[in-house]
Amino acid sequence: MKSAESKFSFYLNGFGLLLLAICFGIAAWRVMGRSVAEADPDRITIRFAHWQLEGGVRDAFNAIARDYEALHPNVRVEQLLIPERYYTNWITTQLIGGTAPDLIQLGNTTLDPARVARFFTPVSHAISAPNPYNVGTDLEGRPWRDTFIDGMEGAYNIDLFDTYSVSPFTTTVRVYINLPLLRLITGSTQTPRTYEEFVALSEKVQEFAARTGRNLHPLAGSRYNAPMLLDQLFGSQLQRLARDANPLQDFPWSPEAFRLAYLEGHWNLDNPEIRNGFALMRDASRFMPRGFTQLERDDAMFYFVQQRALMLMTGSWDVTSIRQQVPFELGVFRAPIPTPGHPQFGAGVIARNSEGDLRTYGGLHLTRLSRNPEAAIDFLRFLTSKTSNQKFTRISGWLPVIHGVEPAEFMRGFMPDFEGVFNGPAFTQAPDLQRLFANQQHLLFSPNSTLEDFFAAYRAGFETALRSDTTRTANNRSRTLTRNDITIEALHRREGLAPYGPGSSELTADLLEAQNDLEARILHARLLLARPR
Amino acid sequence: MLRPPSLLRAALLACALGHWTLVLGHSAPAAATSAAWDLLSRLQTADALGAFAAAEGEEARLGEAVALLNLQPKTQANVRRAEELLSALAGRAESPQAPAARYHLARLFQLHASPARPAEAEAAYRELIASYPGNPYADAAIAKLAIIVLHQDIPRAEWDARFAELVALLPDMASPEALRDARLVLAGAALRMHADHALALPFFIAALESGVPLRVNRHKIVLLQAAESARLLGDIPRALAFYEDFVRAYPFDVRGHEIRQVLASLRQSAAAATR
Repeated sequence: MKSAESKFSFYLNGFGLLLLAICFGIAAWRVMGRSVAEADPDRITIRFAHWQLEGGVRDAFNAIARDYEALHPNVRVEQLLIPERYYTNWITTQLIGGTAPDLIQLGNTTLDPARVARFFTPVSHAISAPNPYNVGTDLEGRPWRDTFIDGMEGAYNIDLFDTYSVSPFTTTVRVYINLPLLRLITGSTQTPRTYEEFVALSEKVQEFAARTGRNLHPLAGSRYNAPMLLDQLFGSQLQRLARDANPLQDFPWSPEAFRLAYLEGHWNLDNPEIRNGFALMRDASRFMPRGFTQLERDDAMFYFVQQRALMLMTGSWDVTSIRQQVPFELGVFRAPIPTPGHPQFGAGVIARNSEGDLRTYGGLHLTRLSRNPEAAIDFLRFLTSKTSNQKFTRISGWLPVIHGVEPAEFMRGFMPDFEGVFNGPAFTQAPDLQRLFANQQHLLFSPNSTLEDFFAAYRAGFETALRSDTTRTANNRSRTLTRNDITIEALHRREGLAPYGPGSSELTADLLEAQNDLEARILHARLLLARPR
Repeated sequence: MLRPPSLLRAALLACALGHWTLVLGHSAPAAATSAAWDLLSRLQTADALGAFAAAEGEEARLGEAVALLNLQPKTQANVRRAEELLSALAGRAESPQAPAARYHLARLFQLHASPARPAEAEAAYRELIASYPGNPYADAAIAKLAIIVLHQDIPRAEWDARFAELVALLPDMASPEALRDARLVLAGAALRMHADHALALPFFIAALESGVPLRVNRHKIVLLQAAESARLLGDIPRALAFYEDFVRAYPFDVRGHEIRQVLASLRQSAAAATR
C-alpha cells in the first residue's frame, strides 16, 4: 500500500517537474525569440500599450497592425493590453524603468503634465503635413490634423502647449431602447425625438406596467448613468443664457465661464433658466427606479438586459457588450431635450443641441524612449488613414474619427450630430459643486420632498462650493502658468533664441500667446472672487 | 635634436592645440549651458539646476535663477536665492542677460513671491520697457503689464487712461508676434472688464490682419470673437466677413453648423438693410 502511494507520489512529482520544464522551455523560447527579433538590425519592432480591452478594439488593432506589417515587412507591431485598474502603475513603472513601449495611450488625468513632458515627445511637427496613407482618397493632400473630425483639438495638451498624441477613439452617449418591448407597448418602433415624446412614452410604459403587473421601468438609472441624461437636460435650459452672458463669445460655454458669469452677476439660483434646469431633472427622474442614485452601473445594466427597463442611457463604448448580452433587437436615440415650444421648459431652449464639442480622447503618445520614433509616427499615420480607420471602425464597432469614414451599420445612431446649438454646462462639472449636488440630490429626486426643499438646502452651500471650484481652477492654472513661464524660456534658450526674439516666431507663436491668455483668465477670475457680493 | 620639418610639425600641432583649447574654452560653457536649458525644457529641473550651477557665465546664472523658481518643493529660500541672482544680473545694465533678468525678476515678484509683490512687478515691467525699447523681453513685458494693470477694479476713467498708456507703447514694439499678442490682451481685457466691443474690435482686427499666424485653436476663437463684436456693434458686413473667413479656413470645424446658422441670419439682416 505504502509502495503504491510512494509510486504515485513519484509519478506526480515527475509530472510536476515535467510541467515546470515545459513552461520554462516555452517562456525561454518566447523571450529568446523576442531578443533575437529585437537584436536584428534590419527589423523594427513598434510596441503600443492601451487599456481598451474590449474584444472588438483589440481585434481591430491586430488587423491594422498586420496590414502595416504586410506593407512594411521589416516592421513588427505588438499591442500590449493592460487592464485599466493597473494602467497608471504599469506605465509609470515602465517609463521610470526605461522599458516603456513606443506608444502609450493616456487619458486626460493618467499622468500629470510634468511627467508627460518628461517621458513623451510632441508629434506637432508631423501633423501639419498630409498623411501619405491618404493618397488616392478624398483626404489626399489635406493636413493630417484636418483629417480628424475634431481637427485634433482633443490631442492638444493645453498645459504643455503642444500636440502629444494621435487618437483613433471618440465616443457619444445615447439612450438605448428595447425595440420589441417598445413595439409591444406602443404598437410601433418610433423612438422619441423630443422631451415631450420621451415623457409620453415613459408614461405609457408606466401605464403598461401597472396594467400588466409587470416589473418594468421606463428608464434604467444609476449614479453612473443618470447624470448622462440629467446633465443634458439641465444644459438645455441654459442655451439662451449661454449666448447672453458670455462676454468672450468663445463658445461652447465652458463650466469655468459659467461660474465666472455667476460671480459677475449675470445669473443666480433664482434665474428661471436655472430653476427650470433643476425642475426638468426632477421631472425626468420619475421615470427611473426609486433610489436610482444609490444604484451602480452594473445595476442599471441588469435592469435593461433583464428587460426590467425599456431604456438605458450610456455611452457608445458599451454597445458591443450590450449587444452580446441582450437577446432582443436594440435601438438608440439621442437624449431628448424639450422643444422651444414646451410650455414649462421651452423658454431657455433655442433649438436641438449640437454635439459639436465632441473630441477624440485617449490618444497614443510617443515616448521619448522609443527607438524608432519616426516608424512609430508612421504607424500612427497608417492607423488613422481613411482606409485603416474604416477597417478599425468596422471591426471594433467604435465610432470613426476620420472625416468621411462610415461607421458600422449598428453604430449609425451613435454618429455625432453637429446640427443645432450648444447646451450650457452642467453643475456637476466641478468637484465641489458636484459634491454639493450629490449631498442634496435626494431632495430633488424624492417624491417626499419638494423642489423648494432642494433649493433651500442647495442654496446654503452653493456660493461656497462655486467659489471653491473657481479658486481651485485659478490655482491649478497658476501652477501651470509659473511652470510654463520657465519652460518657455528654456525652450527658446536651448535653440539659442529669446522669446519674441529674431528667429523665434515658430516657437513663440504657439507658446507666449497661450500663456498671456491663461494669465489674463487667472487674474480676471481672482478679481471676481475678491469682489464683495 | 629636432629637424626643421619636425619643428614645423610641432609648431603646427601646438598652434592647432592652442586653437582648439581656445575654441573649447569658449564653447564648452556654452554647450554646458545649452544642455542645461535642454534639461530645464524637459522639466528635469533638479538636473538642470545642477548643470547650471556647474557652468560659468552670466547665462548660466540666469538659468540657475529660473531653474530655482521651478524647483519642487518650492521654498522661499530658493525664491530669495533666485531674486539675488536675477537682481545681480539686472543691475549690470550692459550685460546681454540684463533684460531677461529684469523680466524674470518681474515674474518672480508677480508669480513666485509669497505673498505676491504686484507693485514691484509692475515697476519692474515698466523699468524694463523704458530701459530696453524694442528688446524681445521688453516687448513681452508690454502684454504682461497690460494684464496686471487692466484686470483691476478701478474707476472707468482711470482704466481708460491705463489702456491709452498701453496703446501708446505699441508703436515701439519690434516683434510682430509680441505686438499681435499685446493687441489680443488689450481686446480681451476690454471685453472681460467692460464688455466694450467698440474698444475691443479694432485690436482684434489688427491682430488678425497683422499676418502673424496664430495657433489654430486660438485663431478660431479670435475670428469668432471679432465676428461677434462686429455683430453686436451692428457692423454686419464685417461680422459676415469674419464668419465667412472662419467657415472658409475651417470648413470641417465641429461648430460649423451653428456658425452657418448665424451666417444665414446675418445675410438676411444684410439683405433687409439694403432693401
